[in-house]
Amino acid sequence: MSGAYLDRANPRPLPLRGLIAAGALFAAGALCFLYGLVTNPAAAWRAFHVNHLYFAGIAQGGLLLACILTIVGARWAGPVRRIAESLAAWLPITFLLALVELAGARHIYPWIDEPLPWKIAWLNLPRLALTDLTIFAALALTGFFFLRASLRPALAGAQWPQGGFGERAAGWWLGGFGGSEAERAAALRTTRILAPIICLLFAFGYTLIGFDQVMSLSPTWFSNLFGGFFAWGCFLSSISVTALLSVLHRNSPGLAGQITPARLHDLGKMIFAFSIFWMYLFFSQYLVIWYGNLPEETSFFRDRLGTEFLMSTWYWEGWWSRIMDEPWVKVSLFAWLCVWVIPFWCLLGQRPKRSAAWLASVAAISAFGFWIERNVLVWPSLVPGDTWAFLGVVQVGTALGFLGAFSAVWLLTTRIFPTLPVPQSAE
Amino acid sequence: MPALVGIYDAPGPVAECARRLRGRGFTRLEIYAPAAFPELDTALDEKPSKVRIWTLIGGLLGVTTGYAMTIWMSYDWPVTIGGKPFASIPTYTIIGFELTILFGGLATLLGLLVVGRLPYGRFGKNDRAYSARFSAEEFGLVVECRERDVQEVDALLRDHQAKEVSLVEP
Amino acid sequence: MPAMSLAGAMRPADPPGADSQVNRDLLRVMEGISPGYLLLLAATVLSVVAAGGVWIWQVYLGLGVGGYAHPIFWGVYIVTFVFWVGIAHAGTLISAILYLFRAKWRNAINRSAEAMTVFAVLTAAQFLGIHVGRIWKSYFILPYPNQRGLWVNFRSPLEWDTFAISTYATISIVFFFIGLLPDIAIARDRARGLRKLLYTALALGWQGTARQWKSHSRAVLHLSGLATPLVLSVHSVVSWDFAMSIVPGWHATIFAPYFVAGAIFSGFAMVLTVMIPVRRIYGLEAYITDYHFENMTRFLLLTSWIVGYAYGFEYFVAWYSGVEAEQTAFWLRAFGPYWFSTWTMVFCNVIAPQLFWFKRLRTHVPTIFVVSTLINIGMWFERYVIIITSLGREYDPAVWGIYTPTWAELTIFAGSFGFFAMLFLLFMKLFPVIAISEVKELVIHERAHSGEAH
Repeated sequence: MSGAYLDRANPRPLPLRGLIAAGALFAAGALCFLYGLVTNPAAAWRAFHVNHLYFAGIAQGGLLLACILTIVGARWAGPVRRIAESLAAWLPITFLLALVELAGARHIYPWIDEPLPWKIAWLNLPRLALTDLTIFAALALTGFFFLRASLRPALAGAQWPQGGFGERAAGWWLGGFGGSEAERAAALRTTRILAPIICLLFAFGYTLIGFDQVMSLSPTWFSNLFGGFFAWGCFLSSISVTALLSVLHRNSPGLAGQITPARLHDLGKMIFAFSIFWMYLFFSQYLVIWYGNLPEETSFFRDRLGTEFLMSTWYWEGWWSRIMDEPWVKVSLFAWLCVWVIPFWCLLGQRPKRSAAWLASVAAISAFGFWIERNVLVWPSLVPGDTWAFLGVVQVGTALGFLGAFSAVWLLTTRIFPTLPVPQSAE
Repeated sequence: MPALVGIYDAPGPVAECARRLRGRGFTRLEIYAPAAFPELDTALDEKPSKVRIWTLIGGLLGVTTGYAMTIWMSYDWPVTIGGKPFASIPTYTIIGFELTILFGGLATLLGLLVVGRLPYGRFGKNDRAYSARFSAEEFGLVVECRERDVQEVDALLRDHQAKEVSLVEP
Repeated sequence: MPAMSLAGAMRPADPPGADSQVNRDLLRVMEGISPGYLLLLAATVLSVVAAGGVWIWQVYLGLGVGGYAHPIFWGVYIVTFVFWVGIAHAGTLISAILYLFRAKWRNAINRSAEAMTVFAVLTAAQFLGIHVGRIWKSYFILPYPNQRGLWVNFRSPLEWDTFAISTYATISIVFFFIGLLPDIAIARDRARGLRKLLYTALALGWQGTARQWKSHSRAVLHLSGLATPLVLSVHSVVSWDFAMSIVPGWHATIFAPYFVAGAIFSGFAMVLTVMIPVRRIYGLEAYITDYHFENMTRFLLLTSWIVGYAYGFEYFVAWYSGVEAEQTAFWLRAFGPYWFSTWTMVFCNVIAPQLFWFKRLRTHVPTIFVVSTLINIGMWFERYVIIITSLGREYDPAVWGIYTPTWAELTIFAGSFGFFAMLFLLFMKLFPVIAISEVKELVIHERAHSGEAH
């Protein structure tokens, strides 16, 4: 069975209308960001930071899912794997954005202007730039080699319309790859070698990114689970996006009939189980800090969940006003609702997981919830008193710009790299 | 009523044959299998197993008990410990969770016994058609029918790859 | 009678050849008692008796018999408790989580792993009794209505432990029993004498009817769904026994997932350590194959990395935090009086399993046996490091202390292995060590698909 393919590649024309819409969104977003740079650079750079992290997580999580499927030799996923892989096209851009972001580092990291003498060895800009750029670069490079090995065999069989952009791009991607049995076996081997390496790089790299780019925003706060919690959020948000895109494109040429209820069921199970695990990680962190009640640790939760969820409270009287009146609590609870409560209760049981519309709605809510969550992780550390700091023309505009750019890259990728053929596992 | 026992080697034909028999109005059927096979789950009865309701009720009962017990006991004799509130919801979540699992699991066991009709039979006595072959690797399809239908059922069983068919007297 | 016209119309007797190869192979493990077996059983019973004697002596004299002295009042007993609770995690993982993930390679090992879970929980639970000062008051931990009108303190992690461990013991026994039910019926149909009586009673009249299998599959599915979060919660709760305090080195948010990963790691290693000799002695090579070893060792590699990740980031954040007590605690772990335990732990848990990157070694049985044994040792030392070094080096250097286990503690520690081994030895002769009906599921499935049906 080795090297057998379900079908030949099925390239599609570029979706011009979608691309134009995404491009327009990007242009509008870029304008908002530039306007922000002039009027309110702090807000602009912070919004940039949040969205950079959010989309980097989605891109990286998709690659991680593909790697895990490779390691366990899972056959259930089929073309879902291609959708997850195509998210990773954003990875090189992630590296560039991290580079660009250094220009606004002063607005993002409070310890640049007010350094902590006892932490200066770690919290300084050259060290941060070196570490995080290395991580983004390493992940982009390993991701590139993984995708090259994973996509080449499928691309080799593609029937392209003569001389189009797609054919040129595919030819460049293929290099000298002819699609022989030996070449395919070598490609499969490469993916198998790279997959565990990427998983390890992700685990350690994104933990450090979480520490550097989020935890250090409250420089005195620390929690050794935080990096893992952050990385898990990246992975889960990416699964939600994969599920959403699988459903949205279930009727596209090449995918028709492939997004079966069984596959949706498996994706639904993943969102369900992984959101429970997300909740577990959150609870593990919260409980230890709540119970220990040490001021250097509780500050993080006080800024986000207010006093209701801290030491002196959990009393009946006045809980509503503690939730509604204190800064950020509403937003945090809304994120929690989207990321855990809704996925848990709406995906309980078999039927909802197998319904395309239902699953897509829950996945969309979860993905949006993670955008809110990323905001809640970043903003309250910088502006603890201002609940709505993450909303505004500049902030929302920047987010939409990212969304436009990400969508454009994704649309291009899925058209150049055919979505359907997935190698059957050799075993 | 006499009963016919068809012996099979695979679950697929058993399920098919059972469906055919049901279609022809034979409802007193029984299947013996050496292991669990999804195709047999719907052969006699399409509805999903009722065990699910037992688990659900057990779990809900557990979570309610967990929170109610801890909160009530904390207020029944209020003692401030470590400056924590009497109803320390985060910690009571742990008790609530454990009892959800405990009650849910025990209810599932009970559900298995009730829905699967266990314990079954008198001590040491099995059904008249049961044979140790069914705890080896063979499948049995048992049809109770009137004497005049015996021929028809026999033919049907053999049509579906029964390797032996035998008659069990009442 | 028209029926007489049917060819071969007879009551389906039990022809001697009607038994299957799988039944014979796997039931054979339960037959015959060799001198070696008896010797081993005698040794384990003896160690349990010795431990029991020491324990009675300890109850009489007090916990000073152990090495408990200021400031360390959690010693080998608690270390061993955590160790056994950890071992108990593999069974549920294999049975529940891998069941949900439809990993077929669990089939050959799930029964013995479930048995180990039950026995390990029973072993672990005893250490709570051994550890407390006044065993005759241990029932105070239960919330029962009493004359004093007092209730237990539900805010205490030790109380959570009571609920978590007893829930885990109950559910793992239920899971074990439900899985065994069809196999007991197989044994019942083939046993004679006293065994027949026992299996008839335990099989509850199981005949493998469609209705029974249908409810059985449902029940297993639901129990898997319940047991999966349970397995996460149990070792999390155990970890919170430590993390809820503000002792440096204990008060860490990462503890819960880190302990769970460690538990699964050690449990898998124990399954391998036990099953490799059993496979060899009873000739089960056809059932526990390279395929199983390949997957088990990959799993060890994965969990080893999670544990290594936790070690690394614990140290990193202790340093990053800028809290002097944390920094000192971790420095002393590596370079203080207990450096030996720490480096043993790192070597056994992080370095040794890296051998499994090599495909050849993943199926090389002697290597697997050695590494899995090392992992068991390393995981015991991990708990030793966490508990002893942190307690011995709290905030105030004036109350720092050193702990050395006494022979009484070590006897009871050894007795716990004897107890576990004793139960497993008895189990091997009473119940099938491999889930027969699940193996058959695969055998019949494969036969049907290879068109070999006759």
